[in-house]
Amino acid sequence: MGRNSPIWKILGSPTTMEYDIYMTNFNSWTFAKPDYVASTPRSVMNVGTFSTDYTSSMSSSTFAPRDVSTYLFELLEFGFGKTDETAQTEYYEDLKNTDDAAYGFWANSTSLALNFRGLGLPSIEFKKFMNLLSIISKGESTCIAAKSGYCVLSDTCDAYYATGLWDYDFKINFGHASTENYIRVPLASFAANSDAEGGLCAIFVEFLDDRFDDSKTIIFGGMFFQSIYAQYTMAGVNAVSVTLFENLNALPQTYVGSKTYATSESVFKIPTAVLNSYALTDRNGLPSFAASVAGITDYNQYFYLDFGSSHTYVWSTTCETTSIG
Amino acid sequence: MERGFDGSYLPQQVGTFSYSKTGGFIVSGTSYTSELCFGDINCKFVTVYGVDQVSADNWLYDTNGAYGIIGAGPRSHIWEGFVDNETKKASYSIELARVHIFSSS
Repeated sequence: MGRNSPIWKILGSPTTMEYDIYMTNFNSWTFAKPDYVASTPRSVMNVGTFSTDYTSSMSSSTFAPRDVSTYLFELLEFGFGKTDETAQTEYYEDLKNTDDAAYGFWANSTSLALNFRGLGLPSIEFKKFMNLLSIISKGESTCIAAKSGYCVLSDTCDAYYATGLWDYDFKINFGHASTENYIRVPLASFAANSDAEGGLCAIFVEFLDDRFDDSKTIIFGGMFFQSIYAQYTMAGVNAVSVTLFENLNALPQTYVGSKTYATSESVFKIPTAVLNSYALTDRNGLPSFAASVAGITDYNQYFYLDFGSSHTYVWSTTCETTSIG
Repeated sequence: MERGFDGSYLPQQVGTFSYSKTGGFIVSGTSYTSELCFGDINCKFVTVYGVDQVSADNWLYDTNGAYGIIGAGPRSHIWEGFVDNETKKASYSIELARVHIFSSS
């Protein structure tokens, strides 16, 4: 869809090339808002015009690429956290790709890409997100920091509604902008129960291998546009602009605007836990703890803890002893 | 009777291991991706080592081996969710009650 694409010749080579991206959500967001109903039934792109559902009176963020002849945008702010509208506070951990040594030309840059699935984070930021997600999911997330890696929770997405997981969002502020507005996109925008993961909740915040130049920017992929409606205008080499609106299908906490909030204390609080030893099976000062491992069908499973190993061993039903030391 | 790990429901075989040393044991077997739920804290998909053969039992000889041993070393999944993103540290403490080994009082 770039300015030299043949598609514009088909449309009569207009002086100003316009198109928009107007997506609905591909999976119902009832896991994040039980009474959620989408406003539009399917995703569309209007080429040569814009949807009439959005008007200039609506709050939007308009910005241009940071360099001529690239479609990279500058990030002024990019964080993961939460805004509390009731308390009028916010807290965000920085996830911007600021490391000049690691990212060079691509530092502080982002791209919008319909041919990418979720939210792409270069390795440094992905690992930081892994840690933050692990804290707010109380350790239930598993993220793979390798090519094509993303995060999976240990239950379906609706199981996390009560935990407040879906209150978290990404705060984004683009540079080279003609407005002061920033954007908040809910974490739920990138979540879905995944067939590939046995129906469990996947968070499609995806690992980008920053050994490759095309993976040093933060990429907002297709799932981003479920929350944000985008209008593209290309009037010439130096007159490319993007305007983002809150998608009419978006969850309520999605926001485009300029409201300011006081900074709250961290919303990434390390949980505390008390593990009681399992009284029924304690044996003369050898404490055991209740746990369960899928693959063992017994109830009341109990295990010892080994602080010298990071691997978990279980005895198979067919376990044999060949010699006793 | 305790039945042990039979690989039913969910676990996916991911490899094998031989003569691995852990907690006084030398063990061999098959590794799986399985779900481990630890107390009421959390559930998580981890690699679980299903022991098919014990070559040595140096610490718990003639003692019940429970259903297995959960690794709680520095790289264990146990600590995920408990690592402070600023300090990169997780902390824990152990407080055991006195156990009366030789009498019931």
